[in-house]
Amino acid sequence: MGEIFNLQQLINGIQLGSIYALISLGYTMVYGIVRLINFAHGDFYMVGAYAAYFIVNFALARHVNIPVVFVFAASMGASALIAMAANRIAYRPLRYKPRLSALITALGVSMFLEYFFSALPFIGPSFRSFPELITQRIFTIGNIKISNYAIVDVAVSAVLMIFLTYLVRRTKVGMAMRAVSQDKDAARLMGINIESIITITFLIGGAFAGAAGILAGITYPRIYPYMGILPGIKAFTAAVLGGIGNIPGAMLGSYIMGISETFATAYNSLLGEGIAFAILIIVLLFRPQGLLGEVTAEKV
Amino acid sequence: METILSLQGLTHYFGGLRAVHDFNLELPQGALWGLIGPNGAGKTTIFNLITGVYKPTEGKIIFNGEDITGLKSHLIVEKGIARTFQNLRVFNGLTALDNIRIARQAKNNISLFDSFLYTRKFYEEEKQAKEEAMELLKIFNLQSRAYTLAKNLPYGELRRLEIARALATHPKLVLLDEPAAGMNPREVGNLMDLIHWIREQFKITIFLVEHQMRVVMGICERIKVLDFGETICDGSPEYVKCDPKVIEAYLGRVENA
Repeated sequence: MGEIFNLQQLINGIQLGSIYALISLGYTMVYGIVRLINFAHGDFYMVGAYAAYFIVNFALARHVNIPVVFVFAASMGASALIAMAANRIAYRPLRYKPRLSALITALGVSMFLEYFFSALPFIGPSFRSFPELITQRIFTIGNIKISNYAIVDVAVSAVLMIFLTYLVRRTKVGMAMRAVSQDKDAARLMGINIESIITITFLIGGAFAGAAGILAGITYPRIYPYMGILPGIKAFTAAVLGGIGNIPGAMLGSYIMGISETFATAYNSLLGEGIAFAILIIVLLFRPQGLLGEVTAEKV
Repeated sequence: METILSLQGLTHYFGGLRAVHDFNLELPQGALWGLIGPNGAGKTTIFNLITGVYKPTEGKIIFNGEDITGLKSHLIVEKGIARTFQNLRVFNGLTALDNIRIARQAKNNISLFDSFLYTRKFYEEEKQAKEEAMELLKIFNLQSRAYTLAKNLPYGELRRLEIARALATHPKLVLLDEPAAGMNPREVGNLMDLIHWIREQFKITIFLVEHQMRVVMGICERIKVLDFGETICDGSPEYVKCDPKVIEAYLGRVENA
């Protein structure tokens, strides 16, 4: 057991958890605001990875040196655009229709993005290797190896999470988001434009998924149109584990998912894919609202 | 006096059910009028029509000489109409102070850019917003509750908070939907004084829906009575009180033996 539960695995787990956290924040924010489980969210992550792939390859082909920050901005932008488009085209017309319709639509959007990307001649269904955007360096401290990728993953997601926390707590938009998540009608009658708040929510959620996509591309350099499915499901699970609609909850849930998955994988690679879900089931048995979720009594 | 709100032939159907029929109102600037009627008479529907929650099936809503029929809610608030709700709709997860700040914030022009870079504009606006919100809390005797989450406030204070929040949008007209609901007689007395006082202080027009006769009779200058969506009486409190149709709507028909 000694070689399984060690610091090295913990670091790898935190690294994976950081990527999950960026995805699960989008799930939880969208759920908090419009009560929609946006199944297409994992695919926004895939879009982000492909956007980075094309930009970097384009630059490499022309021997241009492209700043990493620019690649991040572009792929976050691409994912945000897709997220906002999905909201505007598919979800918004169903806003006040039965909730199940939007849920099925979300599944549809997800499938559409996956198959459409596979069908596009310049993308195709096969794996592609993500170009080396940052040169890998490994730092050895004692018997632990820390790659600069791990540092980038953790740092980028930490910066974005601090940004989001500040946005939600301190800014006008954040306060409006909290108000909308609590009572849409009252918020509207306080002069808040609900639709623009929803658009901003999709924008932020999409951009975060895009950032996760590029981080995943750097760290696990193999991308394909279905790459969003499993991380999407895991990130959604993390959001539920932490208490869906709750932002710190999504972060906590993601780290738990990432760490337990890494430890379990070290033990048995197939166990790794399932362990997090086992944890989810157990936690929900005892805390149905999730770890940080609040018990809400539905008015009857 | 100039008319601030004019409702012309307002009619609204829910499916086949006629909730409001041919409702007319010429509300003068600075007035304090009331709308009463038994349960299900269509009072709240009229408020929902004015604030853009529903779009009227027929009729026109003119505010300050401008046709606002069918305008979206958040734009109507911008024009200067604020409201409270019959069943409280404060933001439970926000503090009393934030509940008020949010109402004001829709009006400011602070960009995301300003709030992230902590510009002087942001700082000053924040300071001013906080001061103003505190001022409002003080008026409603809620200053000691500023940092309490709304869900932890007692009922009477929530009612006051909701009115304060409505005022924070800088309205010209405030619609109060059953402001005295669930209050004890002493609280009702205080509320009546408060409503009078805010009208003078903020120079606003007030239109209120009430269920309790005592409140309306005590403070309203003029009353409209609604029953099954129809206006059955319109006049001064004394006149309305004695109208047999009103008594019938409230108490039922007196059978002559």
